[in-house]
Amino acid sequence: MSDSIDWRIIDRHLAGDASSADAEALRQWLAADPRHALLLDQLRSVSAPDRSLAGESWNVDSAWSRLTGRLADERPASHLVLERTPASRQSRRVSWRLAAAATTALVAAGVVALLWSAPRASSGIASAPSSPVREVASARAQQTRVTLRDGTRVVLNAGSRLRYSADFDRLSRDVELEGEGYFDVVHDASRPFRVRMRGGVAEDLGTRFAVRAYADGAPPQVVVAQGSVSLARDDAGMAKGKLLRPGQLGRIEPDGRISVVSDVDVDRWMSWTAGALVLDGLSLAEAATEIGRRYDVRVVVPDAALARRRVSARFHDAPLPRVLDALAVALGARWSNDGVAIVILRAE
Amino acid sequence: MTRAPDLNATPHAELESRIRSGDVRAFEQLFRAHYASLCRFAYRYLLDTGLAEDLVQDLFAHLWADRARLELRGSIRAYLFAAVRNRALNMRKRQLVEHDWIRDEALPDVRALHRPPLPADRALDTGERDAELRSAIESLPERCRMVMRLRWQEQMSHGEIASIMGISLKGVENQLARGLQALRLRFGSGER
Repeated sequence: MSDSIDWRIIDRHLAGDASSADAEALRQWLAADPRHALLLDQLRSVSAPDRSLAGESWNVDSAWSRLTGRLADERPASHLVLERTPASRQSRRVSWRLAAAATTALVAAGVVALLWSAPRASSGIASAPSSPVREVASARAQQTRVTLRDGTRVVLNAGSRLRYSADFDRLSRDVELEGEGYFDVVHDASRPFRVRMRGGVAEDLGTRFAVRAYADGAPPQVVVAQGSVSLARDDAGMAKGKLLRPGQLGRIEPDGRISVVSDVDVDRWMSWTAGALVLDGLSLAEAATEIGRRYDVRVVVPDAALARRRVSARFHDAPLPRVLDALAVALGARWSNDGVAIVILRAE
Repeated sequence: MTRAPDLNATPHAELESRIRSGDVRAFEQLFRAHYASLCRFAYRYLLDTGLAEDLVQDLFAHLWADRARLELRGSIRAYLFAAVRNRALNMRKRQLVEHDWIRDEALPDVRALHRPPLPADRALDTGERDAELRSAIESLPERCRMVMRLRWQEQMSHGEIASIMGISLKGVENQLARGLQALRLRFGSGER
């Protein structure tokens, strides 16, 4: 057909790669039918930036200054190694060595999931931001590291979620935590950083601290590494809160009382951020929950007496079988994997 | 293939080693060169300018924090775009619970290829034509749209696009041919 043209010529033309032979072929094609010019015109506008896209006016200057605010606070990557991939999901560790084909490997990094509740336009047109809720979640067997807008760095342990409003940092700095999180807060007395959890709220007074408040019924607790934190019950004002100093652990007891333990092993409480699995004086049932969360497995202890036995152990990037073996030996138990769950039983 | 010399065309080994050694200016150069197009690309997946910017910010913050381990092969631009795509798809995977992403890349939309052509005698004004074109593009499968835009808007090579999208060179050609064919049919230039 005289008026047809190799699509590759059009492709090269639109991509700015046309050779002189291409240009000649294109000229002949355009001359063959006036509609060709119209079509080419249409296609050219594919390569033009979207006029309907409000965000085309990305402000590089302000973006750069926002980024540098964050960079100043970044420590060497060795401080918090979070792309750790425990046990069963030992996929590739993310490095910057990204071969062309290895695109899927990128997803192995701590996955930051941002969800929002506001209804959104289904068209390609950006909707006005309306203060939606954002959520960062860390799946089971995964840790997630995120730097909030104000520069505060958060590490979320496995099976945890952090919620905050999209206008976080503008008026207040409130976040809501379910699960376990480590916070390295950029202190700002005029805008206190508050972590809301089940039954209470922790307010930073310039600090690094960890909060543990899983929805498993265990009392929420806060351990302070540096600076101080005020821990208060939900319904009490911050003024009634207990002040926690470095090395102290505050716990919101089931009756609402706040208990404080001094001189706890802070490193031990924070060590999960570096990949450790700490089972510290837990019942085997609690340890099973913790192991399940960390390795994304189901661990059951059918024997009630065995489930009540206390364990204390610490592992560092250990494969799951090693963890289970260690517990089994310590408790005189055995474990098996039936494909659905890991079952821990008394050794006969 | 000739192209105006730019950051991407120059060997980036030097830039890369400067960034690795903590040279903020080199890092800024990289950021400024790619920020807008990366945001635009992220936006196409997320349809939210705020999220798109956050994603790109996080990517660069991560890149800087981990600069000591920076070691790139191939085009630095392709690396950045691939990282944006992966992060965006990841975000969306999580959102699937709440949002029905009908634009999923994997979902072939054959209907788009069988729309009736517009009447040839109907002159469209510019606005109408733009809207018509946009809807024609939007109705293409996502992967096809992304490939077309990377090629014609970002003026990337087929190789770069292949590595970003995780498909073969042949796959890139197929997507481009398919997209062009669909638009051709839609705008009825008389060829079948």
